Amino acid sequence: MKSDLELQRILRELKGLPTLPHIYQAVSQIAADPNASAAKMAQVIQQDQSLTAKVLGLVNSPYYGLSGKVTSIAHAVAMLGFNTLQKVVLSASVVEVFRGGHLERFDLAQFWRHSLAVGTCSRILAKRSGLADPDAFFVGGLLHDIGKLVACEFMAEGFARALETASQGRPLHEAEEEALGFSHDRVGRLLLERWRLPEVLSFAVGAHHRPGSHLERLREASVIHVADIVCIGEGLGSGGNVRVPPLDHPAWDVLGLQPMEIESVIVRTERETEQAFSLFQPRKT
Amino acid sequence: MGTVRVGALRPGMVLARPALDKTGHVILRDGLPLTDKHVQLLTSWKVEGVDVVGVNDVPLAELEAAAASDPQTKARLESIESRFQGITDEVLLQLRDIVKRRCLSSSVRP
Repeated sequence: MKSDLELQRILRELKGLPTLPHIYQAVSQIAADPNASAAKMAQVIQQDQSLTAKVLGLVNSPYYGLSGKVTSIAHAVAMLGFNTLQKVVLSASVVEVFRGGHLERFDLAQFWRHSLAVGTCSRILAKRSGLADPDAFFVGGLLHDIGKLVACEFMAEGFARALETASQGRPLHEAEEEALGFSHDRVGRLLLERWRLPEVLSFAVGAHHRPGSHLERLREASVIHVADIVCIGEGLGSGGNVRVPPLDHPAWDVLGLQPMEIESVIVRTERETEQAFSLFQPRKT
Repeated sequence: MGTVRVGALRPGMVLARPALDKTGHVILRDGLPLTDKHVQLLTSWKVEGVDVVGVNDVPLAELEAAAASDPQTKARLESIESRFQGITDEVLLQLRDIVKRRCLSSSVRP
């Protein structure tokens, strides 16, 4: 198994490892500036037409309760505030950064459908659990498997072997450890750290297969883990697992989800995912 | 537990599962004995059917057997089975049964 240090070195040396879009950096700078105006924020986002359409689509999703009412970025800024908008911009722009390899067993559209479903479900679970920033868990869920895109694009041969093993029913993260010496949760965490995204995101992404080993932050670690399992169970997209991966019981228990609530969570996840999915189709290269 | 159309609900029937609106939000909690007011509420929210304790109490296996003649439902059930193949974890088996029931009752659920 490769150590974090080795993995960091590998990431550093990868030619063409994506960076976050410039526009996200610009939006983050404005969000961090107490003197910045809403007009300035709107101006920056509007420079990118495709991003503008995605942001408006996300803002009008049922979650914000503003369905169909927000027609301009200026209005979106006013309704959501800088911090939430920054996360929406991150979600909308990150889909563009990986072109993805082209592996037979790895369907990029299904990958993003699964990622979006886990993001949506994570936000529902985080809100229900009283965690401070449910939107952060949406982004965390959306990015939870991003390490697979690194593997698919830059280590295609090993990743294809891992997918082959996983197609027999093994959890993909275990197959990756064997084929590549690391799993996507770890490389995903390191990538988000490189991108200097908020620590709660890299933590939750890195912990999503082994939340029980983070007892001090179990609730934060559990949200994406449980959302991932619910979405795989319901068959919402696919991230390369053909079986539902093992459930971590302390994670399930700490969220306190009652069997009777599961269906409500699934219905809401499915609905919100389908509405937002058209926005997340990767651009054809 | 069985799905009952809202028009056929009677006061005193007990919800076996929460009644959901079209967006998946819970309108009425499970375990609630229904009154006329609740039935009116469900009608006004355009809920089509809810699951009621003890009425038409069909075990999952029977529902599955009844659906076996529909190739589409059968294929969906097989796909669910294969995702949960070999799993013995009680919580995950509960999740599987919820997913299956959803698949089987989707024609009357919102």
